Amino acid sequence: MSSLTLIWVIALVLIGGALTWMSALIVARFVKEARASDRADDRKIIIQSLSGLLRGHTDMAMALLPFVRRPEVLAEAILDFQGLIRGADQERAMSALRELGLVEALEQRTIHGSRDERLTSVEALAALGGEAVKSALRRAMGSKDPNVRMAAIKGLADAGAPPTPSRLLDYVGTGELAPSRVYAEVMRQAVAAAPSEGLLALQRQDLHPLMRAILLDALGRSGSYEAVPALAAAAGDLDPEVRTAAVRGLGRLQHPAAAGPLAAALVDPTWTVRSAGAEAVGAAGLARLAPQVATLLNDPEWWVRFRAGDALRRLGKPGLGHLEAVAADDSRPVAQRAAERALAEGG
Amino acid sequence: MPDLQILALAVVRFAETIAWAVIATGLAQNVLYLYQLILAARALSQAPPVNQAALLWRRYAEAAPPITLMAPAYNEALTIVESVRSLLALQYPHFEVVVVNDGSKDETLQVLIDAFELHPVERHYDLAAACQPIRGLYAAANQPRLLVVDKVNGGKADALNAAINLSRSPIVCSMDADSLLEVDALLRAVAPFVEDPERTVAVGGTIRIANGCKISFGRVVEVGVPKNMLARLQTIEYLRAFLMARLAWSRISALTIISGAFGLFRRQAVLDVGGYSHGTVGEDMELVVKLHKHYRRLGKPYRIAFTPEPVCWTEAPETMAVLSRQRARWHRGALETFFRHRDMILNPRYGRIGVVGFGHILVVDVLGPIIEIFGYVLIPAFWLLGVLDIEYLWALLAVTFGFGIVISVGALALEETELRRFPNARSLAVLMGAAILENFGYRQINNFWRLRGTWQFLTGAQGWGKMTRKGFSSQA
Repeated sequence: MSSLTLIWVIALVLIGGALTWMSALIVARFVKEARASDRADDRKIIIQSLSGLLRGHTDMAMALLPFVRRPEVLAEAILDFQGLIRGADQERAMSALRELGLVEALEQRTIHGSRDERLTSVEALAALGGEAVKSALRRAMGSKDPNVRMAAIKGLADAGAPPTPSRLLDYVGTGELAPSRVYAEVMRQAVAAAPSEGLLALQRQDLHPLMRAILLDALGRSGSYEAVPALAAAAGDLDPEVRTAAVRGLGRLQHPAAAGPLAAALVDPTWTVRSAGAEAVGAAGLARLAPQVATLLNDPEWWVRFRAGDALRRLGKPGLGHLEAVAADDSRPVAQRAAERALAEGG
Repeated sequence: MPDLQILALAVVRFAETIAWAVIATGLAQNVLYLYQLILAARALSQAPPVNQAALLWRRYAEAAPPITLMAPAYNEALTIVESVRSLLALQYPHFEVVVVNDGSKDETLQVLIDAFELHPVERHYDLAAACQPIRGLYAAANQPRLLVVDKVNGGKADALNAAINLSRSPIVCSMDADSLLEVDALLRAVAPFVEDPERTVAVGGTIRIANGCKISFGRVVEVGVPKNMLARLQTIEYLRAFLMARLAWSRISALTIISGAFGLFRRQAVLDVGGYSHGTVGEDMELVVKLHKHYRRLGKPYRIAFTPEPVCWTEAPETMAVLSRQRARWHRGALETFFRHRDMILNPRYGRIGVVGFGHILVVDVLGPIIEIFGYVLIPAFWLLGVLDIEYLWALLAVTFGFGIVISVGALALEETELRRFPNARSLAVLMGAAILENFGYRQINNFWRLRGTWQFLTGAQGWGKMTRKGFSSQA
């Protein structure tokens, strides 16, 4: 074959291939349109049946039975429907679905479905609730897919049965999960369910500063005063991210014993810690720290000045007194402007 | 006589060199496109889009960080109220809308004040990013998510800087005031910030053409194919640019642009690089390049991601005059950024962004249009002079067109396989036709417009040119 012929063959193969590809896509679309129409009809039947169940028509459960063999369709419909109802209504509908044997069918999908189906099935399982679901979700925690694993853990946390904080830390340590914001949310649920376990986990020596910060944030949100000494100790950590998380946590817990570490945070060399310190003093209502917070109105960092002004406003009369005094003092224009703006924003 | 022979031989050699350079550039571009197509297909198959809004909410709502939507407005009195209402109705747990009236000469500010019952307010802000003086801030108790900033005119980059200064959210979203956002756009685009909060500094979203779609109250309620041929060709072009090129480059950490029509940024990261730059029409690309440079120099791990799902719809020009001005301006913007950061070109210090990202701009944007236009003029001339073999030229031209069609169809195939937003098989067939047609004339004229952008860049032309929009109310 001459080189000229070869070039023409390549050109014709490319053009022919593109045209065939296009035709195949159009034909596939016709088929998919028909399937999508069937699927939409199925979803309509499912939603109508679930609505019937809510109105007390228990016989409607029978209409759902054929779909148990196609759990992926049911899973999508459940996730749509579950968002629309709450409380006893939700439980009644989900209980009917559990009785149909949907938990087992969905669990099969969490193992054998496509990646998308596995994920949707785990999320639908979590929506179904109940004890059998918890077991299924625990099994799904062993999935190779990190997204499926995270969905299963989140489902368990939402169902009030999160893994222990230490176990959650292990997942990141072994690279099975990433420290995402969803992960941080689950850690909060895990620590809230067992604050002492969170404190125990904090003693681990293998913790990366980021993981310590996530754990401290969770302890701060747990509402447990048990965490105050640990948070106070962490407020003096070498890592600024850890100190910031600890200081914020102390602010959330609003315990008077936090005054010492928070006073130290207000003079921290890192601005994020000073800013968190001011915020925490305002949140905890520690009026005796108002003079120290007022000095931060002259901080070189805008966020610190802003948080200080906000905190003084939140401290009520003592804080407002400082703000008014600084606003009237034109010898420090930066602090004066920060105080004026804080007062103006407060109305 | 021997002298004449040598001269003739030299002319033939020169003609052949030109022809081969044109062919090599064309093939290099097509190989790059093919590589992008493969990368994008892998990205889409490994992380397929989430179709159900309820599922998105379930996955991300609890962990979603607060976002400030920054909407710069200049002389938008006719459409601004509907645009802002549509933004306020977005589905996202924590967000605020900062509308910046950039010294409009019409009634933009007054219509906002009247429509939302705004009154002057005070807000503590830092002038961290350079911007023109702020004249006033307006808000209303019944619209706690809305803040209107009135400032002296300074252009889009300046208005965005003002909004960043006023924002108190960790994430800011840049957009055009006339962009139409999907109701769950923020929830979709925020996913990388939720999944990888430590590294993610910016996320770009896919922009789609709204021409031909049914639009109601600032939302695309029914996707359609544009009736106007020029808009139809741009539909394919946008699919190729967003669904293929940007997704592919983001996958290998070489994305150099996030469209100004929609992009999420970590606020502190933007401030760390000094905010948006003034004096360029390509401020969106410039910001992304600055972010790359900053993090590469610091040696800190970072991620600039891209979401393939359509999050934002925009009106495409339907006349050659407006489209040519837009394309010349875009090209000028790309060249301004390229040469402003010329130290990054093929510089291994900047990793893939220097080699792949800037290498791609060099081949496709800087050299591509010049060589291609050069070829269109010189090759027929050489053929007329009888110094080039026409049979080979036709064959190679056929290969180039074949590649072009494969790439366009491939981009459409990605859309059809993973997103399937076009309503029916008929619309698909119409777009397939456009995917073929764009290779015969449209791509070539586009190169001519880009060459005009190069000329404007070289001569230091300023300004945006007149961008006439039909408006969304008349569509569908």
